[in-house]
Amino acid sequence: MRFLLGVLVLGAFVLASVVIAKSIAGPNPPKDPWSNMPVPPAPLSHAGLFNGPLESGQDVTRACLSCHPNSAHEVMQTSHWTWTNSSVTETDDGKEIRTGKLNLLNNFCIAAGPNIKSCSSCHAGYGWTEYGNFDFTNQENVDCLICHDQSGAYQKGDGGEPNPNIDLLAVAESVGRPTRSNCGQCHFKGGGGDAVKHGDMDGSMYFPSQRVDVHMGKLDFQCVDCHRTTAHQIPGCAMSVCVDPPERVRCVDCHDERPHNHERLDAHTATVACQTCHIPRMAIDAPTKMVWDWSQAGQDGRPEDPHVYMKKKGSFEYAQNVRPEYFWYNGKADRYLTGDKINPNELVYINRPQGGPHDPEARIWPFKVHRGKQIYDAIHLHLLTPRTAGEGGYWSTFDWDQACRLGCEDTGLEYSGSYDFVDTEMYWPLSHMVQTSAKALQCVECHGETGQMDWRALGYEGDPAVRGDRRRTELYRGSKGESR
Amino acid sequence: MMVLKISTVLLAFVLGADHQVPTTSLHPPIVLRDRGGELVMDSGQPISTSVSCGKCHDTDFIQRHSYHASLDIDRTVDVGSLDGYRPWDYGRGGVGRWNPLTYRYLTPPGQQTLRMGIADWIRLQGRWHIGGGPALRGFGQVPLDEQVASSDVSSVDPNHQVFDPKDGQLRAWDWQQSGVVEMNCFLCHVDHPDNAARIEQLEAGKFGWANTATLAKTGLVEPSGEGWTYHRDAFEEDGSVTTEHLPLRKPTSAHCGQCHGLTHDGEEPLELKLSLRQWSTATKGQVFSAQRISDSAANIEGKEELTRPWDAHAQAMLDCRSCHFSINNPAEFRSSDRNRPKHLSYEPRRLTLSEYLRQPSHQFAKGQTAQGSIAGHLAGTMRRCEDCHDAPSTHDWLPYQAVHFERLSCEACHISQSFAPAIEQVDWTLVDTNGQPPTDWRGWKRDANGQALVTGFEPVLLPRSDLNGRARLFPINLVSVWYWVAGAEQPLPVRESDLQRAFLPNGIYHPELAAVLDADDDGQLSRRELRLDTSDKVAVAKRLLTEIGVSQPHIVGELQPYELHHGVGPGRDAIRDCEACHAKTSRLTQPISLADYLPGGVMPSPIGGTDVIFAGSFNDGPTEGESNTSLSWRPNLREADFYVLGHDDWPWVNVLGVLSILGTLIGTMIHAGLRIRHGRWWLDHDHPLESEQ
Repeated sequence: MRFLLGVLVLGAFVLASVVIAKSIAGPNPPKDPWSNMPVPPAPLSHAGLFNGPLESGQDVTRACLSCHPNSAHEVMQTSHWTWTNSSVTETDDGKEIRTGKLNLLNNFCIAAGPNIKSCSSCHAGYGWTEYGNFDFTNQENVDCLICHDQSGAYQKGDGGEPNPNIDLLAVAESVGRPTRSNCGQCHFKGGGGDAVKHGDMDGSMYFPSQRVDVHMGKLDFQCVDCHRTTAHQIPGCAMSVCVDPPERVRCVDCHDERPHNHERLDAHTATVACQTCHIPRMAIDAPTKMVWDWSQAGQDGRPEDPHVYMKKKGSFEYAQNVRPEYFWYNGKADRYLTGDKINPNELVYINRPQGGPHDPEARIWPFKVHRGKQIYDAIHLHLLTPRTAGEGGYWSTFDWDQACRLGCEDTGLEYSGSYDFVDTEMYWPLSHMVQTSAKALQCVECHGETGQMDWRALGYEGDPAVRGDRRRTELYRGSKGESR
Repeated sequence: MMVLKISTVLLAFVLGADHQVPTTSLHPPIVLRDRGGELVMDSGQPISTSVSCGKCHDTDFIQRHSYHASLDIDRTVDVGSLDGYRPWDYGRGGVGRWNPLTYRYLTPPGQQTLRMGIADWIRLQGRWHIGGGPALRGFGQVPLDEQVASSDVSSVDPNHQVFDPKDGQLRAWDWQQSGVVEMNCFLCHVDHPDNAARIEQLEAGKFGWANTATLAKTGLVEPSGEGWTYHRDAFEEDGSVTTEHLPLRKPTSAHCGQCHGLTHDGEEPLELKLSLRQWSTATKGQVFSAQRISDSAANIEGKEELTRPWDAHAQAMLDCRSCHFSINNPAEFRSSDRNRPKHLSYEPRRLTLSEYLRQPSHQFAKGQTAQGSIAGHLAGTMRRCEDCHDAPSTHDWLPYQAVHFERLSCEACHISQSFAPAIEQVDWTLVDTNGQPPTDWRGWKRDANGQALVTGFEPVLLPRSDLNGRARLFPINLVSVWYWVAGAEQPLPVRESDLQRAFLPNGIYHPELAAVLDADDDGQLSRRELRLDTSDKVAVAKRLLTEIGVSQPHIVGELQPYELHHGVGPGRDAIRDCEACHAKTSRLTQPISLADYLPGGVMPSPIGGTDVIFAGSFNDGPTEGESNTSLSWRPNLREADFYVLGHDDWPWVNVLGVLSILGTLIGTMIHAGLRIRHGRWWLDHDHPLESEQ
């Protein structure tokens, strides 16, 4: 009896010691990011699984569906197929629409619709040559190879058709888990060339060094390691086409929300996006397009330089290894919808990030801002959707009136015959080209006399390092005890 | 009323509470006048800061309360009367305490030999002086150009004479022509002062124009002939200039760095230069910059991995004023435990803003260092680490916390390394063809390609007594210096000009000296040959000095400690490994090299007045008389009553330990024996109580 009592007392003592030690041990250390990494399936060679020859893209798809019968159906639910996404917005006349590449315009090549034959080379399907005339229900038109080819030989042309000189059987036998090369074929070349659209994605990421991106360079991450796909649904959607992306890819999917082991830095996470400090520069290796002035297109005699001036496109400004611009962003954006009215005397925002210091969900984000000067209808006061590529397009005729007439016929937009050019801005939040803490922004790069953050433009009355954070300066009034 | 009005306008300018907004100066337009009170745009005379700034600020008060101006010339003592100082020292501060690194000895009044008068001192030393003090009044009470010089040119008068090294004669200095140097408000308060233009004027003896030249980058002035002219279109009709042309502001670290050392706040890669002109960088390897070391332009060993900033406080947006604030600034002043009565935790009494704006003290809070003996009465007024940091809460991982804090300065662990080179040895026993002493720097080497590679260095840790009487370990760079001293009863360092006359007559080495120094007989003197490391060489040098009239020349060596307080790294880079100190190979006793050779075979002696306890010994090198081997200093902290667990091996501790073990064993055995004996006794006897139960 005494022995049993002694054991119980000893056990209670040990238990109490553990509990006390745990309670005074302080906060838990940040979680290990690797514990959240997906384990990719073992690669399966498809060599010898096909009964060749495979003459067309549809032949390949039929072969794929024989073993993966649901895959085409899954792909057809995604924005890679529909070119719209599940994010819904309201037009000026109160109509709810799904936005996407299909129906939006930008300030690069302006609109995909009138140029669909050319633009669909980046559509995950075959045969889209006419805007409004494509069978989105035909599973055989789904292009499996664009994402799964591992031969490196696969290429698409007009209408999204495979290059006729490609050995489709060899390509089909190479398929595997998508790599950066698959995604990069389209996403690195948005806007018509390498590094044109995105400030944080370009061809340097095919074989990146750590200097370009720590995840892809040092750790050899593939896009799908972060954009984790379920039933071919790839989370993450660019702000250029999504006003409120339903599924986002976040740093905290792997990293702790307070990962710095430094109280002051961790306090920043409520106000500053991880990307702000850890993407101190964009376009690290390849220059990205910062300005596109369509109004200067068509001039004869100017020297052609793809980074300065092209007769068919106008003048450009490129920049390399540049500091981003910073804005509040709560994950949502205002969006110029095709047909929206503009004030030609004011800057037109194509997609402006939402949020401000008063918004608890908003954080300061790094952006590439692309400044354009593009064509609009001087009577109807809306941006126009000119046809640039293809028959009758501006690039062959240098006739804006004809290009607009043809383009607006495609998109159903009213065109008065009178046009002019207006300044526009487009915002591209940055999430790639991530740097380690060794290269992240330092205090003085944002704060203090040499700091480059425009605090007043962000809504502060001055540098929060000396004036206090959002809560102290009453820009944000959160609940009691909540610090922002 | 005027003061109040101005104080409102100047509020943001002076207190500088917001670094970001506004970025432009709020200082009101200032009317620029000359010393006679005339508008400079009319008179064309040099700007008088005393008169121009004195319109609103009490410039006389400011000059009287500025050790940057006075350099303690008002606290000098009789030559040779300071214990532990050099026989020719006559003060503890900038004026009166000679430093062989710069080798400028300003002759005090009463000395019979003029080595350097005030005018020459300004020309040579003025680059590091803000003006006012000795540059305005010399050793007198009124401005030098208002003093009446003695007509007797045969008597020595450092205020009004200069020494001409060409013929060794005294010359009268015309202060009316040169002008004097008023305290230069512009150098620290103008956005982009032109320090180079200022120095150029000083070195040319155009003292009166030096402050005006500081505005060379503002567009207000430009050089013209012997003086400077003003751009009238930059002035208002009343002779004032707006902040657009003369942006006045609070000083930044860059302003301080003009004299004190390398500061850097731009995005351009930082460059390191080995020059005494960057004093604190040269003597301590300190760089005050937020820039990552890996982003600098210097060729630094392991640079890619050095992603820490040069100074963590610079990175955290602190500047010099954050700790070295004006001691009567009501916004900055916060009494510390050292200067506050015990019954108060906060001292609410302080100047009003208007009082401060009228009379801002330019005595800046200062710490206590081995090398900083100027304005000793202000030592300990600055904010130190513990005034901002709550060290106990961030060092909860550290065992024996109280002992560590009692024995170690914060700097000991947080400035464990300097990443820039610093001076190791200065040898004034010879001069090179530029008249400069052979100087060796620590913290760099030649790489495999012969390129200079900066390696940085670990400072030595030596105890230094602080104001509370505690001896704590501080990181220190030890600089060894050798020089010639003449005379026995009233010794003085041999003049630079005498060194050149003796060793470099006509600009080339004396043939006898060249012959004895040229060890490889190639007709050239390399750095390795430029040393008096044998008795033969010393004898030749001594004879050459004697031949030009130097009396009883002999070599003296000294050891100067320079404490490191800047270049603080982030916490993660601090020493946390117990075995770094608590092991046989403790860094606490790591030697620091002092010299490649021993000039004249003379062992250097630690200088006095530093509060450093030189616990240790010269080691790994020669003894007195030997000269051609290296010299280093190996600390021995036991001499300073430091016992380092794991490193020190005190016999009585071992004896005590053995005795404790033996005592415990014996006690246990006795106890056990008694228990056994008692047990047996218990079994052998009846137990009435138990049987009753």
